[in-house]
Amino acid sequence: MSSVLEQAASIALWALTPVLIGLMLGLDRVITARLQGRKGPGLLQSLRDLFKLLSKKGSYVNSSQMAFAYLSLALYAIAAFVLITGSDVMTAFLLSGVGSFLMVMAALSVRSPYSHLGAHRELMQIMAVEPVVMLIVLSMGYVSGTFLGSSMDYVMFLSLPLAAAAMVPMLVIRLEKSPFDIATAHSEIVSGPYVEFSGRTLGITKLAHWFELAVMFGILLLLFDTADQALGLAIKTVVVLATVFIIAIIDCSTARLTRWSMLRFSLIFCLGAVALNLLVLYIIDLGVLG
Amino acid sequence: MKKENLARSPWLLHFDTGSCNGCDIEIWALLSPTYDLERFGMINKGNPKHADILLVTGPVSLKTAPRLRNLYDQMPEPKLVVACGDCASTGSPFIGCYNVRGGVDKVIPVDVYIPGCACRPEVLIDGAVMALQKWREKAEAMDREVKA
Amino acid sequence: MDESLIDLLVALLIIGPMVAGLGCFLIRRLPPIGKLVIAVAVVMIAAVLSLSYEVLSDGTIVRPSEDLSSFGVLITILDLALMLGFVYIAWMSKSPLTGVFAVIQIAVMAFIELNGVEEMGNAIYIDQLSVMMTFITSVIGSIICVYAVRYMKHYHGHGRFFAIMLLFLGAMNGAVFSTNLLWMFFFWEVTTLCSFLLIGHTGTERAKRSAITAAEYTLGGGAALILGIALCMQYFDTVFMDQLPIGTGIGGLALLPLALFSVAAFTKSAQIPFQKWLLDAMVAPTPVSALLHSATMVNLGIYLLLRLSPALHGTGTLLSVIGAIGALTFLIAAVLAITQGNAKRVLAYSTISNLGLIVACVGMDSSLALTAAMLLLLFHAISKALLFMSVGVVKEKIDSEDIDAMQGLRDSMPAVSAAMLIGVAMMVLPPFGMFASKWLLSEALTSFPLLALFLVLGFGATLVYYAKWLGLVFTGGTERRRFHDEGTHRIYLVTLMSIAIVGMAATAAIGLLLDELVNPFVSKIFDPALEMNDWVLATSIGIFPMLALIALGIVLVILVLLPRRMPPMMDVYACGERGNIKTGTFYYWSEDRVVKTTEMVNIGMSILLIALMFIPFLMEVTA
Repeated sequence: MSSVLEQAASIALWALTPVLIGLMLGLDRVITARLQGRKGPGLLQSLRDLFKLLSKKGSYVNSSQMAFAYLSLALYAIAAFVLITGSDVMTAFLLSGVGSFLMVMAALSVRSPYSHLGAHRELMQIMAVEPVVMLIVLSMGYVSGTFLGSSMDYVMFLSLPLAAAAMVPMLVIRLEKSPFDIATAHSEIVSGPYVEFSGRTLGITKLAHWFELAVMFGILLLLFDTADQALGLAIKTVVVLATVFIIAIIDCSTARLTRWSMLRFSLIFCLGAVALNLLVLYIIDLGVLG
Repeated sequence: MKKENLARSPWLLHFDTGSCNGCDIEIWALLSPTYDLERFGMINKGNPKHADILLVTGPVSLKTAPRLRNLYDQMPEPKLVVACGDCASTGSPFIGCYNVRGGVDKVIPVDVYIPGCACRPEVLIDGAVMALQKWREKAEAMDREVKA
Repeated sequence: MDESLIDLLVALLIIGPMVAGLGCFLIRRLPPIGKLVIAVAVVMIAAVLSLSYEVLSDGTIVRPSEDLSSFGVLITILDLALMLGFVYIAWMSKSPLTGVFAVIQIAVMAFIELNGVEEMGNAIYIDQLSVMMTFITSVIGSIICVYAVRYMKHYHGHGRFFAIMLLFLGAMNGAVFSTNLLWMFFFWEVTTLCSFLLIGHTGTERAKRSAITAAEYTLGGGAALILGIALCMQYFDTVFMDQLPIGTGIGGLALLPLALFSVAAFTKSAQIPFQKWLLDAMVAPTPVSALLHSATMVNLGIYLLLRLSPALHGTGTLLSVIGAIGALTFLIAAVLAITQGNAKRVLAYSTISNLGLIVACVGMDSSLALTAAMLLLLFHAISKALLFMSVGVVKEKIDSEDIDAMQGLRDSMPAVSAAMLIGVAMMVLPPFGMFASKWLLSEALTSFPLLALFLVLGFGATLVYYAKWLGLVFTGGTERRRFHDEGTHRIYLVTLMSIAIVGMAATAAIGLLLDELVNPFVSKIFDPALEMNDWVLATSIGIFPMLALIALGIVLVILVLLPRRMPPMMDVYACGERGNIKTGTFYYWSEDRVVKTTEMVNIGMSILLIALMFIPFLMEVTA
């Protein structure tokens, strides 16, 4: 059982999560800008965006849209809390799945063609990402014999290399980066599911998205836990930076693919990779036990 | 800190009300690496509900006038309008034409006028920075109004 | 409690509705039928609550068959009459398949009776599983019958309809109370008859065809069941389910009756490749769909598998194939549900999918999985009933079952939309029971990781079709354009609210359910793996904070419903245009592709089913 200090530390970490994710997204924008040969906005830019949005009054279309958006934020925040405090990872992931469901509901609550278009594309994203990440979490549970984040094995990425690798395309999809920026498709469908949000409500959806990214990155980083705290922190930082860099490179060098190719890629290659990893582990276990 | 953030994260909406696309090409050039508007934090959003600054080009034809008004109304406060190019600022050389209102300020209130046919990117950047200054003032005025 | 009081309760639950049904048949007019149905509902709910209390506090109730031998004879005679009735139906509907199955059943039954049946066992056996099933039937079934009183106003043949509905309730209770396989077989076939009559109730060509299709498939299952019973007599020397040995001791050809029982369960629960009858059955009036084809009758197949779980435990390959059939059904039905545009068909596929999930749980042969199966059974019945009833109310108002026509329902029928939201929330959102079951199932998968592939894909697909449908229902205009004309009849509101309350109470009381209902049943085979400590569901490998989520849910709902200062209201963005925007939904596959996929899938699953039947022979040869 963790001490009170550790509990307090993880709660503080959860409260700081939006800041950390904002910094990470800012870093991503700087790297993208430098790769494109321009100066770029600066590390704090995403945070400034968020604060600007939260301070504007904005507008809304109907109350169920607002209700679903706030509920989505609540569920994502709770999912991140469950994950960061080291509790059951599967619970955290399922809660974040519900959060994405509610966000789609919020997008569908308004009679706007762009919103509906974006919402259906978001559903395709959910169909592509959820099975893979759920299987990754299941593999983690299988390897460790428990789903409690604080009790899981260390350096699971050594036994789950394909799972760790499959997580990167999932992050590409969730970060809305080429080639899989399907739901929002930048300006082409006018921000997709977020089109009818404005000002404070847009800030809320952005914050919800950040907590979702926290859950996804949290699951990735759980694979890189080590016994030594300081070493673990260093490794995790390196992993985050490397992932952001790789995703930025992928983003700058590919064009957007269709949602069917995203679905095919995700469900055949990524899901297949994780399933293969799990199968190999299963066979090894059977072989050893005879 | 709030005002600073406002001024450092302005999002654009670009609307063409019937221009020859000359000014539009200059605006899009701003988003390219050579002029790099993103270092001011400006992103081109296609959605008035997300945007703070409305960049208008073209001499507001009669058909686009109500749409322009609608887009302006859908933008959340505090908002700014920048009229880019001669057509948008005054309507010239189409002043007096039967199908043209003649200048954006006939439809919506304008904050910054940028001259030129077509307006050059450097002048556009100047205008953008001026707009940010004006925006800060507007936000402070709004705050004072709320407190009063 | 007094023994005779228990006898009275059991009789009330089985025979009571049948007698009341006869009364309905004689009365014929709707208003007095309505009063009779409400009276029956009250009596049944009271009876089931008392019986449940008795079983949960004092343990299983048994009645040996020697005391009930006269009933045994009666049941045999009625069974024969029923089979002859089916032959008559086959002749009238010109369906040779029905006739063949009915004749097979008569022949096998004659064989069983002539060879003498060992009548030394418990005919009535009421344990926690029976209590759960009868709770679903009596409480939810009664509420659906009350709902039907108002719904059937625009149909004809009220006397016949309610007679058969109540007969069905009695037969369901009879089926879950009997351990004598022959008695259960009788009640099973009575439910088949009820299903046939109710589907064809409206008398249209399509209804008649769907009814005979249902009869064909489920009679085929009945034939498998009676063949299994005959083989059961041969290999295990008994017709009583509680006398079957534990599965680890069964090998070789003795697995054949179990395989036949599973096939019967698959037909009743409309697993693939038998799903056609359930999809066609959606032509029936909505109360029939709600009662028979989602909450109760299709659960009878699952009930049989759960009841046989001690006998199936440890049978290795057989159970694995059963689990695989369930998991594949879950995935395929979920994917097909995404392609449908008719709300009742979506719900039908959803039912098939969830039943497949429960079958997969049974096939995993572990403590957590069995616990998950029981919880899923309960919560699925409640939520499906609620969803079907809401669809019925909507159909009455807008005269259409299409999802597209339900767009914007939130503005015109807010109460019914709320009921739909609660129904879907019970399937998908925490902290409701289905969600807890989903978590539980995910934890169970760690012992069986290969099935996990199908199940995770299915879970993703489930979210998609519910979001599509619910999203369209909630597509609303701006706040200005809200109308408040509800006009939903009081009975509808009361029945919908009651089922929603039952669901929420079941979720809140999940700890109680675990301790009293689920774990005692699971303990017969395994050590219970799920417990509720301090309002946290805990297994050996994970936790699910129930109280925290329930409290959070309540807080969030209150916050949402509270009036608060809103930002200014704006119309939707349409590139500067104003006016009426039309939106619709998206149907990922064309009708052709759905048909082709269904054909391929049916062939594949039939091959799997044949493999299932070959396993006993395989085991015999390799043993």
